[in-house]
Amino acid sequence: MSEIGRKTDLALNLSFGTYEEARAWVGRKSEARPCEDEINWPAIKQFCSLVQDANPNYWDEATARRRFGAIISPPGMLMVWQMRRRWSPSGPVEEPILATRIPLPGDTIINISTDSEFFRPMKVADRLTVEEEVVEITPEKRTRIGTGHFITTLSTFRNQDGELTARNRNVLFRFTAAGALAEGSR
Amino acid sequence: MSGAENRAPRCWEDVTQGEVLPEVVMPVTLSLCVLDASATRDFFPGHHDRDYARGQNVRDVYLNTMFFHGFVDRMAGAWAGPAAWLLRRRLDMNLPVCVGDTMRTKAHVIRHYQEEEHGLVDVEVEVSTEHGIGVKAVLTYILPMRADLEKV
Repeated sequence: MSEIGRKTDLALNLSFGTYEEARAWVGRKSEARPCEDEINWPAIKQFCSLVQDANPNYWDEATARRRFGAIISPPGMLMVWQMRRRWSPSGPVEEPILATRIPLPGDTIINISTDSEFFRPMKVADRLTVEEEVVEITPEKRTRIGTGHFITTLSTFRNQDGELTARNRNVLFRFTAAGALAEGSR
Repeated sequence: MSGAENRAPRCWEDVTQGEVLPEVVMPVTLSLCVLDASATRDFFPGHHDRDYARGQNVRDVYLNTMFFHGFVDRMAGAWAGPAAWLLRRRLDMNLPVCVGDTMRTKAHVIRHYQEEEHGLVDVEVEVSTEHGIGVKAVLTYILPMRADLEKV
């Protein structure tokens, strides 16, 4: 592991291995996992204040009730509901997202693209469950920032009634930063 | 952008292909990145630790994917109105958008079409900074038809 992996106190919990080992992960699915929190209004307002979204479906109960029966989550929060707290009374949360558990050589990650589909509203008090699947891992590629592998995962979200709510395809670059620039010449 | 603009529903019949959406400008400060980390619960160090970001060959702390989901949805959603339903969003991160940059959006309707009984629009959004295009996205909305508007 190079310097970058040790520099931070917030461990990424990356698994290390070869591309051959990684390929065995294609097609693997995680167990369906309940999101930590139910869809909730304070988190929605916090997110909307970040991006300055004034949509009344997120702020105005009367409007949102009339349209959806409740305040709804912005679609942009889909991946937020999937995030986990770093600590709980049972200890630090060690199980990272599926993509970081794939054994590969790269010591850092950066997100590249998403393709998200929204099938039904995420209403306040809904409890989402997410299931992840490894769709593709590319051979090693060299890019502007470093050399590594592109990992595609598919997350499927269902609500407490088992109804398909959203789907998100995510591409993440697992890489080692290119040497000269990583030394800080930039 | 005012809340009032946001409250006006837009119907599918009133949209034309090529229509340009209002620009949104937002500076990227370290405070914004801190708010981003907390509001999205994303404590990946590239989003708050400058040394880590530089070790990744990135100029400085940078905004995360979830920020851009919310940001492009907000800018296109303010135009589409609160009766629109975002059906699909494809988003590519082209360059990291870092502390010190100023984001400017450029967006227009690239497709105006019907599928089954639904009126759809595809909106293309680019978020650029002084360094080039940071993010490119295509958002597909279902817009209400004029006849539906009194119901929503």
